[in-house]
Amino acid sequence: MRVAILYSGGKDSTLSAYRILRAGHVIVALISVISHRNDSWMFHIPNVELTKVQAECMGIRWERVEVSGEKEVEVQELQSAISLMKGRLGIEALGTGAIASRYQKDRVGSICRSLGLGELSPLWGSPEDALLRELLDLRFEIYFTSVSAEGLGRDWLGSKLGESRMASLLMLKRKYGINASGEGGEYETFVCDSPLFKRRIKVLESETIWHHNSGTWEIKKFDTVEK
Amino acid sequence: MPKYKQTEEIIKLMSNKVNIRNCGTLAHVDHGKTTLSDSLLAGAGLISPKIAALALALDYVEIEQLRQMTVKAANVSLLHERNGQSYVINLVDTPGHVDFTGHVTRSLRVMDGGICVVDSVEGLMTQTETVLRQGMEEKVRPLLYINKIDRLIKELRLSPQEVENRLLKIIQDFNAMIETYADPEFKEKWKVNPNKGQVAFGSALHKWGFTLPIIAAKKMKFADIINAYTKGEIEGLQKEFPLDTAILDMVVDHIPNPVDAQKYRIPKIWKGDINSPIGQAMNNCDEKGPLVICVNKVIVDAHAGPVVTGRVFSGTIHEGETVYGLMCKTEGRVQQVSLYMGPYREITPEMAAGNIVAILGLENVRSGETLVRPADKEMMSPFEKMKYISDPVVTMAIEPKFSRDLPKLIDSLHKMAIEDPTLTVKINQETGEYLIAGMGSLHLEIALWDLKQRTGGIEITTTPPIVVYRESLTKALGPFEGKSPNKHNRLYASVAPLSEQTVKLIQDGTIYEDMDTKERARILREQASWETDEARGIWAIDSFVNMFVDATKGLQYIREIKDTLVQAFRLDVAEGPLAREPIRGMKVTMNDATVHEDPAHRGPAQIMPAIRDAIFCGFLSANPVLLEPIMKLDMKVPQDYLGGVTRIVAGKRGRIISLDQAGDVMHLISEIPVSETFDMSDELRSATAGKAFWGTEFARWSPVPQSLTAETIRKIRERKGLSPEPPKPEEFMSM
Repeated sequence: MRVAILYSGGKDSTLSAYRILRAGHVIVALISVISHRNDSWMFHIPNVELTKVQAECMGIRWERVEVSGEKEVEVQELQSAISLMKGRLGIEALGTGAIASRYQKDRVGSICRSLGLGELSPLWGSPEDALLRELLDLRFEIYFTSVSAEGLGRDWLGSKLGESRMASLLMLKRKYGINASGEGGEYETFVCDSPLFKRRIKVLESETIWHHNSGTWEIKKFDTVEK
Repeated sequence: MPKYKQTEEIIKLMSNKVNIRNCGTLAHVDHGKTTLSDSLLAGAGLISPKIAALALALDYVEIEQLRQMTVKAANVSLLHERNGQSYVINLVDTPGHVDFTGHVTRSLRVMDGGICVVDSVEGLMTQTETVLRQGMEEKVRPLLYINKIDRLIKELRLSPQEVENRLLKIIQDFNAMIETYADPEFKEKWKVNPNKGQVAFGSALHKWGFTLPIIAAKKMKFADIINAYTKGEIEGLQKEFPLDTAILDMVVDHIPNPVDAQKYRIPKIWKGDINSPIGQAMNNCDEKGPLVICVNKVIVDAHAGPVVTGRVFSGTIHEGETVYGLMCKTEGRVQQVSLYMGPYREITPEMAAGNIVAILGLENVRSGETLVRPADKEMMSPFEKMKYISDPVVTMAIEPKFSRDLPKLIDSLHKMAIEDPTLTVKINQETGEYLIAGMGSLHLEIALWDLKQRTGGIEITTTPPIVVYRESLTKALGPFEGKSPNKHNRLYASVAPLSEQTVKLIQDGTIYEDMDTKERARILREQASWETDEARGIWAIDSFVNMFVDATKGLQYIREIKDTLVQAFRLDVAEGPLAREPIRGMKVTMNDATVHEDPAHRGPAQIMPAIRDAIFCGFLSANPVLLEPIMKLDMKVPQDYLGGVTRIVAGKRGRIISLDQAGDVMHLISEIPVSETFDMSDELRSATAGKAFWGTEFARWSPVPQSLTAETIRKIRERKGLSPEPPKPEEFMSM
């Protein structure tokens, strides 16, 4: 199938793209949604502009869609944008990195049904520890770009997802019931390298912004380098 | 072996309810309660007269050590002959130390009468008043034993007439307390009359004692006794007037048997329906009725496991049967039923209503539990919640010198916390230290001693005792907003100080979290001027005396996050923002909320920080104060040394509450912050050449003086590794 991936640049949509490709599908585009509100219920991407660079590193076409960010309206806006793209790129299915958030998956599902598209969510229902393990085993290079949950402090921002972070996430799951994959908006990530990447992204300059109990990490300057 | 013969006799007698007495001692520390108990044990042949004599040279902890018993209340069943009849006396021994008030309270419930031990020289002191008051609350009939008569003669060299006057004064004071604290129906009935044999006099140290009827029967007068003692005829006195006879005669004659006692005690100490079959069975002390046991004590025995001690109020408990605990909500099989003989337990196949029993095999049962048969669990309402008058005020960190001893230490601390609910054991999550908190520095000292005994003397290191503070607020403010980190949940809560009446109702156990909502609302409306609607919205009442109230109306998803909110509230009040000390006396009201519809976005990691922000922002805005524990110091000191004492009190930020003169002795009551009391004993001893007697007890929580607040907070924060300055309200506001 010709699949377009709803792509945030984070670990889940990247892993989803990887799985979809390995399953024999063709990825025709990575679609990044830019919201005009930072508390959108559907789309939250601190380093959204960088998804274009990621797409280039992977050698896959990049498409952007802008939405207002208003609850429910934004879903409609996305649907009309994809509707236009469908004919232009010959899309047969949408791919998502959804794991556990019923809210997001239901809305993508409704877009697919309205537009007659298939829906591929290969990560749906996967246990959090298994997904984190897979990412580490596949040597994904993942950075925390936003955190917003009890137990995730400022020091997480800009840090790399490795064994110790994975252990901490699973500990916080036990202690505060967070979703260790970040499905409850606990954290967002940015992928600098993965098996899909032909070149990797090197962060040269970044900025951490902290507000009391949540914060973001923005990449200000970067380079792409040979692998 | 006389012991075994006695045990058999006792077991047989235990079915004869009218010949049973359940009693215990009530006293101020050092007034001779333990030596009295020893004399009674010796009289009944349970410990040898030799050991009882040895014991009197030592203080009570060492006595306990000698007998390898714990310092905590133990029960003992004694046999006493009176007028040709045999009586079983279940004697609940209650330690006299001020810091063990919790133990006394738990013992009182299973006793029908209490022997109040008063030192003839020192008279009635605060601690005596405290236990007497508690006894009255539990409908325990008090009797008076005036101890250490020898001191009046030998030390104070009073004439027989002066001795009589002194004793009369103590009896008057005692009756005045009964007038003050007893329920109206008992005020007259319970006052003691020496001519009726309701007061015993004697010397537990020298094991002689008498009541007026006893000496009258021997055609002697009070002065004859004093003359005999003055002449040094101690052995004659011991033979002619053994103390155990005087006390046990008094107990038999004036403490009601369980059948009579339960008739008036059950309706007062049990809140269930007295006309129900269970209520009637307890009322009649019916050994054929449904089983009801009220547990006053759990001791963890190294070999046998938890030993559950309690009073059988109705029915008969048999070895091998299954019982149900109304508090722990679990069933357990009774492996063994036994009665107490000093530190020993004697196995018996069954035990009937009216007695005190020890049960093995019940792992989950704690003191305060009500045990019934599983079939009766729906019909029985538990005995009211145990009330504790004091809060733990002093804490210390504790660790083994060698880490290999850690498992032993943890195991023993765990057992101690089970046995003594006034001793709090917790782990500091950040440092991994074990913290023990108690009612005073002496309580902790004794706990450490106990710990050494249990662990076989492992070496431990401790920090100096640290005072426990409370944080509170003085204004009602709000609502304040708390946003979840993901910004998808907004909670609105306001804060207010709880009214004094409300605090009192919580503290004395009148209202509590899992009681009937309507009943609680009624009490709050009638006694603390609450609005019914608000009172019905109470979600949580926390042990530090705070409340969480839901005032939202029909909000979406509020039910789904309620448990998380309540859990967060408990965590937040346990560590306030000023200095991470518990908050006391705060009401948090949930006013409004917008909650994300997706459960993944409203998990505890989102809701907990959001409600914390609202609570702490409110708390810090509402003129927060730091509260410190205040000790009451009750002292009798010769006039010549008064100046030195008042200087010490003043130098410790103390305040004199009252000062009375009784002969040459000044009776001084003062209040001193606990933080100033750690070296006080030494100072007082040296300032009074050891001639002052005093007792201390927790008085209340009081704001730290303004001038000291900032510095005190800074010190606590630094000790805890926090930044020296407490946070500002803005730091809990989200963007």
